[in-house]
Amino acid sequence: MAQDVQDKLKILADAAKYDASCASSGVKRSNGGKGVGNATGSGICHSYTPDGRCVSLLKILLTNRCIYDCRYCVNRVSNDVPRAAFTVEEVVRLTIEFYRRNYIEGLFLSSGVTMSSDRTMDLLAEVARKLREEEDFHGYIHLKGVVGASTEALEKAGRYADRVSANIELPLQSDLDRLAPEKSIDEAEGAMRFLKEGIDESRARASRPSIQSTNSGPRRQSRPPRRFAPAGQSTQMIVGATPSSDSSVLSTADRLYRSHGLRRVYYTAYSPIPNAHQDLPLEPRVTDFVGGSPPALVREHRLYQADWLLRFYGFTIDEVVTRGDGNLELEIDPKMAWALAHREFFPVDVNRAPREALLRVPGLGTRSVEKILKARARRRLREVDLRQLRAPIRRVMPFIVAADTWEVAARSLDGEGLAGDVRKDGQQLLLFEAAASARSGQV
Amino acid sequence: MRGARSIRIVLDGTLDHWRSVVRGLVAEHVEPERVTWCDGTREQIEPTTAEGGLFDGAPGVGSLVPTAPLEAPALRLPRAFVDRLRVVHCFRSPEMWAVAYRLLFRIVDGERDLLDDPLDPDVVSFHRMEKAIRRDAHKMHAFVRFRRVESAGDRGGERFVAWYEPSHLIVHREADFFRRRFPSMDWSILTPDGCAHWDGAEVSFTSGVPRSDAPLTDELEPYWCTYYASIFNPARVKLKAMTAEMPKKFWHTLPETAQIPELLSAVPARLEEMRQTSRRTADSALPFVPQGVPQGVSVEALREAVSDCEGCELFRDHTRPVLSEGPEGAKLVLLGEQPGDMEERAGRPFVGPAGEVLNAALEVALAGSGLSRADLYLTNTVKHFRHEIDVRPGERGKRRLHKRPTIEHVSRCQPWLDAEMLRVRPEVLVCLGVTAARAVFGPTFRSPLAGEPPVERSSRYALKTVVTFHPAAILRATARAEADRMRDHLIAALALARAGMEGA
Repeated sequence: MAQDVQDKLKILADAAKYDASCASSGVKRSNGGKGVGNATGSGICHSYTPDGRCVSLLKILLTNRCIYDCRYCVNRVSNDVPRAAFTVEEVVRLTIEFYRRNYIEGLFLSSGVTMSSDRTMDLLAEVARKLREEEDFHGYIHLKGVVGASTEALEKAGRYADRVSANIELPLQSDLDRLAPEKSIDEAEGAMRFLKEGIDESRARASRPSIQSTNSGPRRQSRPPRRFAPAGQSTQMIVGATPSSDSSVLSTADRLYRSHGLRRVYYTAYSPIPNAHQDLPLEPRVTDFVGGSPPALVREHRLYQADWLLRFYGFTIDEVVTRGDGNLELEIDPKMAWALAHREFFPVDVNRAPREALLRVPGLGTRSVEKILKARARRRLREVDLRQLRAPIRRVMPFIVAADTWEVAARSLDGEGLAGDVRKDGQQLLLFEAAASARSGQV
Repeated sequence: MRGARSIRIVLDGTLDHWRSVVRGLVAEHVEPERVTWCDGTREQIEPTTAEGGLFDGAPGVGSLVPTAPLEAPALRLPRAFVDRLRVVHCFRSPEMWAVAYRLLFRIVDGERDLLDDPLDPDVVSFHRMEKAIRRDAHKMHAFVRFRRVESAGDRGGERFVAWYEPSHLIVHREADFFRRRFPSMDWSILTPDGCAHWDGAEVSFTSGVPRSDAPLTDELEPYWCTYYASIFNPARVKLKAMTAEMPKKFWHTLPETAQIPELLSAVPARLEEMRQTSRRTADSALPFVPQGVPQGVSVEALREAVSDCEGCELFRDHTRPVLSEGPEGAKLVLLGEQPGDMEERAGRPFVGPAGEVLNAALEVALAGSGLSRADLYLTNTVKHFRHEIDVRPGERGKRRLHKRPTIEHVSRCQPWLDAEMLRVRPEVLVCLGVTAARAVFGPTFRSPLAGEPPVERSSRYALKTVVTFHPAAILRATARAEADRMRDHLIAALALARAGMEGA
């Protein structure tokens, strides 16, 4: 490969790093013993960078030239950054050669919008088509759905990619008006609606039994039609570039999950970019840091936790957002915040409480709860048993009763110091948990 | 084998061998406490003290070279246990055989649901070993790095070879992952414990080799390292998160990790640079404008302060900002676009060719009023000279070509105009050109048509505000008739302004 490909790689990977998603999960595909690659279903992280993010896909832009002037974006037309553009063939070669060395699970290709949304979407889809049809590539492909592209172009993208994501970018239309006046939420949701139709239709087709032809003519060997975006769609919201509250962020996410069947909403803390626009917040001062992490990153982490609580733990937005200003607590996780605000719900008896009640205990995740249910079928659980199950004892104990802890719990729940204690613990925890849960969202 | 005598069993490391031995032990009802397991393929560990008491002490005493007892009945074991044992038996320590036998013995002894108890100590050990193996396998899928070598094979003349050091004995088990993933390329994975090879037809295994047998580099690695360095975001360093998932013990076979120290040491400088560029271009002119009493600070003070303005990136061109000319008690203000080449050199507004057009128009419009240009306050919307450098072949020197300021330059520079207008408080304001008009009436203001007579309206800066053409536009007009119409409009606007001033 030519030297200038390396120069382009430098520019176009750098420009792509503000998109949080690197997931390669959600689809299983075998290659029938031919070609290059497969998809394992759960995704593999091939490396980790010092920002704690995993490297699963070759995440690049086709070009960072762009006609738009979105103020949060490093690639906005008015920004003074070096520009570059890959050819379709160069991206195909890089993907295949990286894949064959086991560096990556596949490709995540996005782009600035150059001539038109349509043309840009078509070029991205063309890379995917070449990889699938000409290189016999069966690894993972994630394409950015270019907002404003025609349904034909989006259809082509969905046909060859595993996942397509149209970014909502900011939680409210008023945020977009301020920072990206050329973009609209309606347009992004229009793309999502179209993608959902394609995904639903393709899924329905796959689950129908194939109709045997009664025609006695020569049987044609035809491949089954490609599944449309089998790993579904996702989106990304930038948090902290505008004053919108966490509750508006979560309401928007909730609406998107419900109406478009998204697999994931990614929250990405607005990250200072070179030559940031004047309308964007500056970096926080060192004294603002919470438990050693910048508040923007803590907020991002809290949003993932809240997102998880909404989707898998039966919480509502009103429950996770406990502050009057519509924001999540920074110092403690949303489950702990809810628990502190609802002490009447506790203590929960680990030996008797139903699953839903156990899931409300700060520190107990879905896995711990499963283990508790299994273990208590054989014996009455004591504190030492919970320790053995690796439950975070200091966090859990104030909110539960075990066979031998009734008094301890009752006393500490009434105590004044509880909120202060968990806050202090929360700060220490942050240092360790933030990264893991940004990926899994486990609380 | 009856009684409390301990038994030492030497295994060949395979699950099959262990199975055949175990069938005999179960048939004889040998309690797990009596068995010690030796396995030359795994690291030997010292027996724990609890078990130590059961040994006779002298090596070899009570040892047994087991033979598969043909008469022993097949064991009926829960499917889940057998499946999980296939995973767990990759565990590197021979302690694994002991745990497995204890579980098996208890299951056969009647505890059929034993594995469902997450608190049983044997189940906990078994589960931890299984987790360790699955994690090790997952890391191997992730961290094997192939290097391409030319070879004499008939499949494209290339072969992909990796060096890897798994924590457990997983090479045999995990070779299948790579066979399924890379069917069309020949590959070998070399490890100290054993090597796996794929030739397009079948997977074969050979014994372990030293690292020196593996290739040293690959032509794609510089690209991969470039990618790794570029996708890293220095604004969000989370080292613990990285090492939790990619512990340092893996780094020595991952080419990209060699750059990590360098990437980290560059973080403060990169952040500082980001902060610098963001600060300078993020602010408007506001912090540079002297703040004073409600009536504002003197124009003289503003003229002095403007030279330090860094409210937008134009200050980087090292040009001299030009604020204004004229008395701060002036009743009439003329607002232009930005200083041009000659204005920048002279440090005064409207001294170039456009200034001459303006002077001529003023002469007509002010005739008979007793006023002259010296009585007016002349200023610009943007105080720096935005331009580009034009170098022409055959010509000496460079020319600075005017470049229209953007709406962003206008909004960033506006604090200067606000301060000037607060101080001067004009009765009449004339906007020369659309840039000035947009600063006064907002970015959606549309250019007036040459055919329409100028009108007075009120604005944020003056009750009477008139919009007309910029004298430079008259110079640029291509058609003579058009230039005349624009000049007439300019003169009419200035005359209207004069009348407004006199009427006040």
